[in-house]
Amino acid sequence: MSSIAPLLLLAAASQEPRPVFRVSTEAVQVDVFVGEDGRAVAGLGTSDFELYDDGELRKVDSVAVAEVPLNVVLVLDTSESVEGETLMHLRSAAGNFLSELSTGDRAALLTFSHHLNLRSTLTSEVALLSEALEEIEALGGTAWHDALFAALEMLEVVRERPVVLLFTDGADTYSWLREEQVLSLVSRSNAVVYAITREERAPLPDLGTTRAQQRFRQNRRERIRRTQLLLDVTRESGGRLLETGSSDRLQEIFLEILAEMKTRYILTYSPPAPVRDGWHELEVKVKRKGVEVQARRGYYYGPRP
Amino acid sequence: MSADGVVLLAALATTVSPFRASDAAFALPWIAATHVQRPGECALRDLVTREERDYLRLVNLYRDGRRDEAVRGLRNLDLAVVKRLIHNEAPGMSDRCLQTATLLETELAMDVAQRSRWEDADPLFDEAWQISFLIELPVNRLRFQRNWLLTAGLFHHQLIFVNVAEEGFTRAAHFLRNAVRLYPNDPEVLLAAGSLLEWSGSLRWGDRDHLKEAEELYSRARRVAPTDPDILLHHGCVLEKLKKEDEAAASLLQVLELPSREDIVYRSRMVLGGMAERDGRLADAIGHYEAATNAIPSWQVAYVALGHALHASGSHDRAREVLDRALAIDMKTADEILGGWWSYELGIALRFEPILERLRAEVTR
Repeated sequence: MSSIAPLLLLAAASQEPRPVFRVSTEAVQVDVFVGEDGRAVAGLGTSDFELYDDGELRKVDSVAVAEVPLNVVLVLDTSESVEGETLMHLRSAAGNFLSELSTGDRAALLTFSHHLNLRSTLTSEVALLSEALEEIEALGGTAWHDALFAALEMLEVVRERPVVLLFTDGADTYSWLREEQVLSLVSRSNAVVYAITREERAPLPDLGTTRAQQRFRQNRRERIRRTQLLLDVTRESGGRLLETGSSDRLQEIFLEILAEMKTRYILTYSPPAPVRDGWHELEVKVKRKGVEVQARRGYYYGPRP
Repeated sequence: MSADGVVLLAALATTVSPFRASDAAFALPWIAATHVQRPGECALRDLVTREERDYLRLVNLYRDGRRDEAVRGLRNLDLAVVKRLIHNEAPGMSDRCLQTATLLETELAMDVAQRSRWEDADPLFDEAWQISFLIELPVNRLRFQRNWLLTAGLFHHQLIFVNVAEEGFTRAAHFLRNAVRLYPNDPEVLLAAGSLLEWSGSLRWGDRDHLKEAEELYSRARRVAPTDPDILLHHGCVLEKLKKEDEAAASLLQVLELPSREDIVYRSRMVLGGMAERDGRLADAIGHYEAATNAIPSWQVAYVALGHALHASGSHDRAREVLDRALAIDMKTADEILGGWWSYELGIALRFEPILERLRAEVTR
């Protein structure tokens, strides 16, 4: 079976859970966000995009937008560090996010501490999800690498707009999976990953030279480094990392992400046969100055390296 | 006792008060006139103040097993009074009573430390240790100090799980390194110190030299106890962290040949699986992870590892099945606190409890 990361669709609809790559009939889908001054750019069509597969310009066959339903896995950190106000804000933000989903959208709820807990599989029943949200408690360490893997695996069988929305305080302390494994999984997945963290990568102030100050700086550097992985993961998938120092902005950020999800474009194109095995670098451009484009950086085709 | 231990004790003994007690002291009728001494009670010769009498009463309460009451009472006493009483004014206490005094001070220190009031707890631990040097009989003193240092070190080790900070490692290492100096070839001591240093060295901001130090300690422990599964497991794990994978595998495979606890088998399998996966030996990795899930089916992390290995091998359907099983494990029915990882990292640290219980039992009348 081929291991293709982006949405590889059979032109002839198949009921198989995982698409088989048949070169003559397949298409590649790329989920793209286009923004300008922080706001989504709407109304773009096939002629506005340029898509490069390994540096070769490919013709974009079609562009779809909001009509494609979302399949979102909410992956929420419920480790001890979010106890109290943060957990309260998180519940509320996630609840509002769910209530703003459109008909046909589906969501799942996966919480994690050092233990992964699937509260709800993908469903369009918001009431069930809201109920599950009320049950979450803060306890234990943080294993977001493992949780992200579980979420990506859940979305492997989903064809329409698989998205992960991950909230964490940024510091993974208990995962089995290492950083490079997480990045590799994301690069092979179809899903777009959005992440929210309470850590901020603001520049370090001059903290002085005492031992305590040095230690503080060292710990801060470590936290920044860990946040960098979240940034890499989201960029790799074509998503985005949003940082907030305060949990009371969570509601606003969750809704901002949902709005962004709903304004993303799905580009479809057909790579010419024969498709080379291995990593394919993707680049999506928009023929307009000053716009920012978020799209996954590539995909794997064929046997794993 | 080793020669090193004797030298250390001789050096340290000069730092404390020279007053000594005889074993029979506690039975002598030196107590203040207002108190009728019962046989076996701890007593001092020249009780002058009410606080001094109160302190003695608390020591005896502790020996009666009324620990909470004794600690509550000690909390209200002036530490300076206790220090003066023990080190300078007391004419003599038996070894057993000095052990009790050490433990009473330790219990208060632990109580304070558990409230994260480190600045207040540190001098109490220090004082407890100092009291232990007054135990007269060298054999008693050494045995007691071994267990006390292990208790104090492991107690601090387990507290780090609540608040991972460099100070926590420094405090725990202070006691455990002294335990190693005292008993340089004691497998339990070496394992305890190694376990702390291994954790410290494994942290990104930790001192990587601690991993080498841990490896040396485990190696020494292994020479004394070559078939102890705990020691073999820890040695294998630290060797793997030091990228000495062949030696690590040999140690971990030896664990699997011995009758071992399930958590030890679990961790050995996980580390062997991790090494196999990194080598690209996915079938071996899958075998080890499956064996781990069989060893303790309620621990989740092995399913995650197995799912990842299956995913990497292209068995996507099986990977999803395995992850479904992982996600079906309810934390309430699994081992809520330990799980696959914490059992290793925290397991040795939690040994402070039985050792402390043993110490308590020794002084209880």
